[in-house]
Amino acid sequence: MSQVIKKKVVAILGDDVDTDVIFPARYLGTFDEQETANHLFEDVDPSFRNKVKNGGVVIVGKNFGCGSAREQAAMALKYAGVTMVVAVSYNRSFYRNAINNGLLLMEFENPEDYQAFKEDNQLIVDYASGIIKNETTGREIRCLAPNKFILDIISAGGICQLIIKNQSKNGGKLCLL
Amino acid sequence: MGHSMIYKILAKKIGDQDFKAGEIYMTPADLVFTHEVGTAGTMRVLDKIGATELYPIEMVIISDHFVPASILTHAINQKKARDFAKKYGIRNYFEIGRAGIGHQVLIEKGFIRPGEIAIATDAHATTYGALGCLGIGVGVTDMAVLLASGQYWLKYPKVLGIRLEGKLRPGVSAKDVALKLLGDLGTDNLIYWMVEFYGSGVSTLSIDSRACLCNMMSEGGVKSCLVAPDNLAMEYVSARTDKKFTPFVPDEDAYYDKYLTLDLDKVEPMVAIPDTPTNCVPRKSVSGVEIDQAFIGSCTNGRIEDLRIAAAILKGKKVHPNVRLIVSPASHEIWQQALNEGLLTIFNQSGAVVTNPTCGACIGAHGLLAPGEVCIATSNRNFKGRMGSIDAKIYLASPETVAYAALTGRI
Repeated sequence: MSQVIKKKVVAILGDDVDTDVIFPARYLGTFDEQETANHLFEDVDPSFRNKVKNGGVVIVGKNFGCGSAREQAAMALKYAGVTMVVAVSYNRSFYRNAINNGLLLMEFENPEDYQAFKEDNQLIVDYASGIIKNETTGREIRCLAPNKFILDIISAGGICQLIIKNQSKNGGKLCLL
Repeated sequence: MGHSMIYKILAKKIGDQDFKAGEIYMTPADLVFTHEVGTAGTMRVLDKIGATELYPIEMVIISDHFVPASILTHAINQKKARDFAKKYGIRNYFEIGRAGIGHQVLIEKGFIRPGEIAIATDAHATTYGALGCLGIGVGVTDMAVLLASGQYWLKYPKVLGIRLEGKLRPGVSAKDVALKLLGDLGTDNLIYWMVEFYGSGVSTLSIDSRACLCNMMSEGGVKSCLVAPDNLAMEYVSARTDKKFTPFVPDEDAYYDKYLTLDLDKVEPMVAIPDTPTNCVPRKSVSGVEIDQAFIGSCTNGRIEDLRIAAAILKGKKVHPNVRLIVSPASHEIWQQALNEGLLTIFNQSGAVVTNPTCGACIGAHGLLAPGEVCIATSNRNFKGRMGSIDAKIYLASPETVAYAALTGRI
């Protein structure tokens, strides 16, 4: 995964954004990709979907995706169009669900860099090395570089694609490695 | 240096090695649990990856989130869970009315055993740590991949060792301990951490209390929790399963990335105030807040110990005229026991609604809050909109605190 992503900051959110507000529990019954996207932030900011529909980077504070392990929170962000989320920190179940679904996540090396972005800033992101260049301000921000296995998942487009890809080297068996 | 419990559990499963925080290890699971929502989602992913058979792992399926089904989507998911169990020959499928909230059912029916790894499509799988079992909550893709391959990618966590000393004072419960820890540590010190409890204070806590503690710590974003299994835990499990298991306790000189000592005698009643479960304060600092609804139940505090405490407070009294009280026993075993002990009669005569065992009010499946209303609940989350309107406020507390609030109309 060497390609560089050029996208704008489309939204900036605060700390402790929980999965109940990202994807309300009353829709837990649905796993249809597009349907999950339709309920993204439905109760608190229904206009959010419009902001991200053409892709872009969402900058968030600490403990993003806290609360329920519901996978639809990560799915809704991805299928609404979000290209990447950059956070001070993630809740662990959201972190796993997003990676498994092939949604790009980055985490600031220095939490104060959360302040270094404004909406509409143009970014050039090198995911594999963890470097974000803010073209608008000229600043370069360092994020934690992804672990090799996580890079494999992201390069495959998600863990489902990875496990299917791995079948050929494992005699048709579904394996993570 | 000696080893922590998570180290020992993983060493047994995948071989002794120098586990490093942040590194990824492929691990198996001894048990998996999916509720109706998780089962339906897992099926979808299994189809997507073309899995035609399941890796042989003991599996339990229980519909608990939206039962009995109130809308068609839930009825369809529950049918999917039933169909899944039939298709793959899952013997441990529990129909509604025969089990209750999955986490509690797994514990009381002997599916949770010390030293094992149990993975569930629900964040509150941390509850299993009450019996020294590594419980991990995952999404449906993780579950499908585990069921198809027998493997789970586990990021080895940093481990916090908490030595419990002393004994809780009357009127203080495990919920208060959890709220105290969540408030003091915050998510900054808990996300992706493993929390292990050991020390002389452990044996002063009942299994119900340990389950509450491990369950609630999930809200700090922990990977999981483990309580060092003692005689009480061993007796509890042995009475419920014939399966052999190997319990692990931490070595005396176990290495932890961080150490903490908590004196249980010093814990006071706590309340999580809106809108996050880690926003915790001593109860006395919010006393007097008027409430519209009180809820006693959930996988956190719907156990028999909790119902006994609440019933002792409500006995012969009436819930405040301005307050609705909802009581949901966590399982049908508990429901029956509460009936036998006369607790359900006390709740009913006090003016409470007693529901079937279900996640129910905790997840806003019923008992919704209208805009502007205030609720105090024994459950685990007080996020905006969790129990209804995003303009409602939720406080979280122990069964004792909630029962008193239901009587007086205020915290």
